[in-house]
Amino acid sequence: MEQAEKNGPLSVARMVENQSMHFVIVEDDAYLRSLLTQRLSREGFLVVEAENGKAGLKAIRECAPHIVLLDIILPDMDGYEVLEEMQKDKTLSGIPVIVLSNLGQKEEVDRAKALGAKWFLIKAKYTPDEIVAYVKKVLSEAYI
Amino acid sequence: MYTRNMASPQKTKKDSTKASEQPISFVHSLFGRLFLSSLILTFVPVGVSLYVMPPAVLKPTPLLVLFFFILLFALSLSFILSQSIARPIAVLIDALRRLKAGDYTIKAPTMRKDEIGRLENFFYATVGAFLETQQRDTALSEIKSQFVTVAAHQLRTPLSGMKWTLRLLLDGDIGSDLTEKQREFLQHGYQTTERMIRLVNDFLDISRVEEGRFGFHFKKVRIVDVIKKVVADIRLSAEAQGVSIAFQNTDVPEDLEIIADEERIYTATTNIVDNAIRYNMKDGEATVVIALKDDMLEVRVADTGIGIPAGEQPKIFSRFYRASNAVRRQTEGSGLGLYIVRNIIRRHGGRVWFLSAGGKGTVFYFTLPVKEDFIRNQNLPSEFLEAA
Repeated sequence: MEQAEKNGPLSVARMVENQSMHFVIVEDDAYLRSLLTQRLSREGFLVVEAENGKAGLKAIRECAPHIVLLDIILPDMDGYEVLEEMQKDKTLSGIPVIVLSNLGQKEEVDRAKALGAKWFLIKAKYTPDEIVAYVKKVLSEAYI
Repeated sequence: MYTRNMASPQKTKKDSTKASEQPISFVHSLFGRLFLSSLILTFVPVGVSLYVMPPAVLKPTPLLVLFFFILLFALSLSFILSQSIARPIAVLIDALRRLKAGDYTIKAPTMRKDEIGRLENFFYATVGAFLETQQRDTALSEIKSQFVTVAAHQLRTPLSGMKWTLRLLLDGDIGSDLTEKQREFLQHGYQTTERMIRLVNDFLDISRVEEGRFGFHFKKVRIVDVIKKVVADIRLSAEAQGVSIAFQNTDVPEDLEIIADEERIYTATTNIVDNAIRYNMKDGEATVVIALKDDMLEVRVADTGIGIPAGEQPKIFSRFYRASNAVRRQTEGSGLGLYIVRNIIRRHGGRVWFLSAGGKGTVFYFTLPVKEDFIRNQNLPSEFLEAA
């Protein structure tokens, strides 16, 4: 992120255009995680995977990603708790989070957004391509 | 039930509420009436006896004392009697007022053994039964909400896996050496998965729509934004299907707030607009127009699609019903979309209807009440609504 800030908007645009943007994907379903990682890696994004909330939070703290894709129902620490922890930490609260979950009742969407999530995407409603499009949109809004 | 409450009785109800808040004049009060009655009842026999008495017997001082005693007697009698009746009534009125304001911490019944005691007991028993029903409904609503959460997660997760796998294969992300036949098969597989996802979504919607009044969260909603969001969210998939979509606001203020359940209105509007896209022609059009019609907001969704055959029009809002020409198109659909729409719109006190000629497109209309009065009735317990 620092590098992006240093290089000015043009290189940020280039970074968003596939290069050296760091991702953390927090998803407990190994197969879905691998499909997404594969698709995002093809775009040139650098992806760190985490299979539960705690590992996700650790990964977010360690690699300070440009964006987080976060599931809600996760073992040991759910997505809401991850969001809460990110909000508490000033160095993490600015990182845009896209919630990628199969929940989708209004209360659930509202709760995630109140905790700072930028977007709430229902997995079954979007194709990997559409998810990538949203990711790029959020990255452009956040860094350009 | 709702239509009855939407019509003129509202005015009467409002007037009666106002009347119940005003102080009662002395002449109309129980105390006043009893006082006047006891005065008349005492003065008449006393007056008659005085009239028949010889004038020599009548002296001013004892007469004054007599009047004074009569007055005192009438006052005490009417006070005691009126208090014994009015006080428990005042307690009941106060309890009702607090119930209306949402305070359910009402006192236990008194130990009176007379008719008023009976009325009190009956009143508290009724309130108790109502509270029990309400608590049960709320608990049931919570269970259903939890069920939807679990079902959504459990059913959609494997479907997401299938959808993403097939999509990645079709998009050449896994390799681009598919034969035409293989691609065709995968496309069928993808369509079937989409159908399954839609079905799951509809079932989840329905399990919430049918849970009744308690499942709806009415609050002030900027309705123009909601309709615009539907159009914006669907634009991408409309364009992918070669259908152009337009939005038009005739005369609705952008900041108009109506009392509605935002999520449900979003679902209902999406279902109608989605039909306008899916059952449209290639290079077809869908137009969403909003306008104010008296006290109603009217949303009109017009398409240039396949239309609904005349003979099947009465059945189109039934559960699981799909028009024969829609089925022939082999597009996915559960036959629940319009059933859900009608349920949602009716619960908002609105109406949904359509005009269609086979092959010439369809125009769907739905209305939503703009006035706030509607919601006041919605917040009353259903038992009271039914009695109204």
